[in-house]
Amino acid sequence: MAVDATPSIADDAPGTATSGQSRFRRAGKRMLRNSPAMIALGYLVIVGLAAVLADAITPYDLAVATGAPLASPSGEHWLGTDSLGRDVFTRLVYAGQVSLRISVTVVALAVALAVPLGLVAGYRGGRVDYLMMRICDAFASFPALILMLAVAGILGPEPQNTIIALLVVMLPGLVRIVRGQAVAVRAETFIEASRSIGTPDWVIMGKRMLPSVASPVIVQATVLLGTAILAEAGLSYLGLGTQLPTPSWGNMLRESYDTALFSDPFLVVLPGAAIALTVLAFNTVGDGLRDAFGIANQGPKGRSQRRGITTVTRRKPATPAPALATDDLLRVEGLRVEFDSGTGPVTVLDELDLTIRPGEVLGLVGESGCGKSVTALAISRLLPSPPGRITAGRVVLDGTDLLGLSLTQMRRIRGRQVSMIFQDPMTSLDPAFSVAHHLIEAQRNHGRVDRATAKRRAVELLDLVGIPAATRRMQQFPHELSGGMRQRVMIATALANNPRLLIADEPTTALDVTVQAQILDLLRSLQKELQMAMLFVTHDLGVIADIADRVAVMYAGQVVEQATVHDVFASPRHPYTQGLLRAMPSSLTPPGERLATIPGTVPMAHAFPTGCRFAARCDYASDRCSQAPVPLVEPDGKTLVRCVLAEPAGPVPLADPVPAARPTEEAT
Amino acid sequence: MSPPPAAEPGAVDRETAAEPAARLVDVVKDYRLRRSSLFGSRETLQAVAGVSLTIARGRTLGLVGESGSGKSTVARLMMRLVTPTSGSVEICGTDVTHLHGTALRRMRQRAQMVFQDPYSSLDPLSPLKDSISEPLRTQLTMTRAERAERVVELLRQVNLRPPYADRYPNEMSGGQLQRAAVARALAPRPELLVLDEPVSALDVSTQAQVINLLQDLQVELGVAYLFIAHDLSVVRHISHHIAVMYLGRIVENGPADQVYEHPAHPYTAALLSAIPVPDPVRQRLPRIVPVRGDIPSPTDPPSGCRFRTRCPFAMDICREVAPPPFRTPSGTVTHCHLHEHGPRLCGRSVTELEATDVPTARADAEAE
Repeated sequence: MAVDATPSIADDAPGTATSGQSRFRRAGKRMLRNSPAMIALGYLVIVGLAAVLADAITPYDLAVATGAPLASPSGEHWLGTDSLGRDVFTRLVYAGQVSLRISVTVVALAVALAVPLGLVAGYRGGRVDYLMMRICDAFASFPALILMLAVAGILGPEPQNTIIALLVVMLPGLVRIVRGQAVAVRAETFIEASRSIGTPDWVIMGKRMLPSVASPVIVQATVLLGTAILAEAGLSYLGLGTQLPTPSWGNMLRESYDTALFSDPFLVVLPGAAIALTVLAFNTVGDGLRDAFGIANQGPKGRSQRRGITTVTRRKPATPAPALATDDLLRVEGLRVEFDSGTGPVTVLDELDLTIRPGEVLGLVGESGCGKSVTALAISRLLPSPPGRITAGRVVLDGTDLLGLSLTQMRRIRGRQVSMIFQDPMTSLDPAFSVAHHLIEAQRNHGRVDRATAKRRAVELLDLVGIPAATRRMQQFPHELSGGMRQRVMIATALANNPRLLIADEPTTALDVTVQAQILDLLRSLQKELQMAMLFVTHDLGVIADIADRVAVMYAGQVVEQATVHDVFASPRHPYTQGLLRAMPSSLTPPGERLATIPGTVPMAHAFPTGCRFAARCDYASDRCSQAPVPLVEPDGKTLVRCVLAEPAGPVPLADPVPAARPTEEAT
Repeated sequence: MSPPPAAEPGAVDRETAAEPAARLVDVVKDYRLRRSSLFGSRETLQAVAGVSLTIARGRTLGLVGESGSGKSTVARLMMRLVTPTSGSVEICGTDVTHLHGTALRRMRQRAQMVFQDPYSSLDPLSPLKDSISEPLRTQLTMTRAERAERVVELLRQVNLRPPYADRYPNEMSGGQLQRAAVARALAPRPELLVLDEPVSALDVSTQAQVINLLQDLQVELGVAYLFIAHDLSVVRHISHHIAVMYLGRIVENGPADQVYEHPAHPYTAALLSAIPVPDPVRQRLPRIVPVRGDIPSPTDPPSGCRFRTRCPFAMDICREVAPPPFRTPSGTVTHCHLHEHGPRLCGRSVTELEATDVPTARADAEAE
């Protein structure tokens, strides 16, 4: 088998622009840009260094009086002296050393214990997990402060007992966090794959689960360091932690409070400030790490997104829609949609034109990434903004340009003249409301209908979509229905107000084949009965053959062919359409023979070539193709094709220049 | 009673008398669910209700079914990722039903799995060379250099250039990544590959690449496939035999072209007629075997024949007795009363029936 030697146009395939960088490096870069976190980190570095180099930087002994008591800051004593004449600066630095040593030890021990325990609990599940979690629950049910005080009080005031007291309180929480993350990773398929390879359990836990667990643990550990400092300070303040004369910020605070509150309040402020700033710094760094690792991403939502309508920013003022020359129900003209990406705006749809006549079904077909769903959402202005934006074009429904409407006006159109059904029946119905509620609300949103009438109509609608025992179904909730049933309910809701246009975005993709057949039959008969127009978006050419009157084939954000359904299948004119049809296993290719494939991959939206976007993968490509953007032409009065070969003169040959067996495997 | 294993379609490969790559005999897998209420009894979900099948060396068995059919559970039973409640599982002649620990891990060298979604079946935090060489580190003793060499060899076999070894999954397209998953599965030179919907998540043009690759690899390496999918036209293209599952049971099992062109079971015929064909004229003809209602819940399957609640040809006997296996002259084994009762098809295709041929007793309204 020959190795792929042909470079493809999008060799750096879909995905992030960064290549091969570990996420730690990526996180590090993001941290560097976060100023508050970097300042806090700088502060912590200084404090840490001071603690480590305490002997070197402190001028005096920490236990010996070296000056007059309660002296003010001076050249000799930078922060003054305390009530016993000891240098405050020296004591403060050594106190930092003590506090940091204790908190670092506690957190290091906590992590060292929590990670293996949490991983095992999450990986094993079952009784092991149950037991461990109940033990953690038992500890967590005590108020943390009281538990800590009790342990410290019982064990006594040595530093190791402080560590134990803090550990007892912090460990259960950390174990829970690790275990939660481990359970989430455990459910991923690649863990099952590792098991199926025969990898031993401990290798799976260490190599496959640990990295996923690492980020939340790092963040939590950082915050815990701050908590530990605070807790230790509290214990020392109460006399249960570090004992004088060994200074810690907590007992320094206590000592100053007792002896110098009114005579020298500065002495109280100093250790208090040290505690507060350090804890604040740890929390800030922890937040920064959380953002850098991308945990719990909550980006700010633009106002438009909350408003529920796609922003339209057209540079030219929209000319008022001319009186319709034809009797089209829907005309999309020159639609352009942009998305904000990390590297600037990207044009995803470009100069898109579509028309739908009343009562007609237009099938919009293409593979993933071609822009068909974006088109469907843009027409009803349901694209989230940000990151989406309509930057040019018109969407004229029965004489009205939808892109010029306000949210209120748009709401009157949605559900009434234009209805939409979506792909995933699991999430399209609100699980908190009954079937009846969905159907009744759909009607009452668009006019004053009394509940009794709305209810009767709801039952009619359920009958219309073929749901047996409709009255009983009305009271049921979405989770009590199968996928096919939910889809029928969604269709019923969409039809409640007799829309003129139904936009269906992959409505059968998530359904079983036999259920899909039923839903397609249903849609086809409803469409005929109600004389409703449909825009049917799908990737499945078989579904298109079932239901569409006319077909628009999309590739890389453009319509490349538009024709009647019979013409598209019998004599496809665009090489991409031809390639798609040949690549499907069907009666065209006998079993056992190689399927014809389309070499290369779809170009990415930020790297669309200027000329024909399919040229790099096309068997008929020539220089002419890449020179300039290729317009849609109408070679014979009924089919539209975006191809330089579609001269009005003659039809594009249905192919055969494609050799049956390709000498080199195209692959990408 | 199920027929003796030697009579299973797909078992006898006349060219070699070697034992089959895989064999399941009467395998049952039950799951116990949570109690419905505090004092209610625990429900049992019978995901696989007595399945027997055989895969000959170097051949492909296509396994087709919709949701609730149990086909994914069969895959995991074959890989011994779950333990059967009863029945036996054999890989290359070795009974692996009750293996554990090291013995089970050693068996894994002979059977590997490819999953549906390559983005979640490969560790997103590891570069490809790590993932692809994982079976090598587990099963074989090789030096690092030998492993690196083998990784390059595997990449070439699946038509990926060597530099891809350093890439991460999120930098690759779906088709490329699925090929990398195949490379990983081939690393320990297995006799059997279990592919669980390997092309369902891919675009049509990418599906074709992966299907072609799998066919080439089978010829080159002689590896057997269990190819699981819901799309019969894809399965037909690549399989030597096809088994159709419904609610935990196999309803039909036979040579691929026989099953596809002369289905002996109404469900197979229904599946075939439900697949949308890219031909507007044929597609819009009325469906040959219309199917009513939705798939029943696996926790409460219908009595007798499990398909009877949706079958347009259901008879009285279908409610009472589970249909025994019937062997057609062409080598297909099917479980349907229509062959020996009622219209007595005796092995002819179900598509020859009209709904009026059958003295239909209305099946119970579908329980929902």
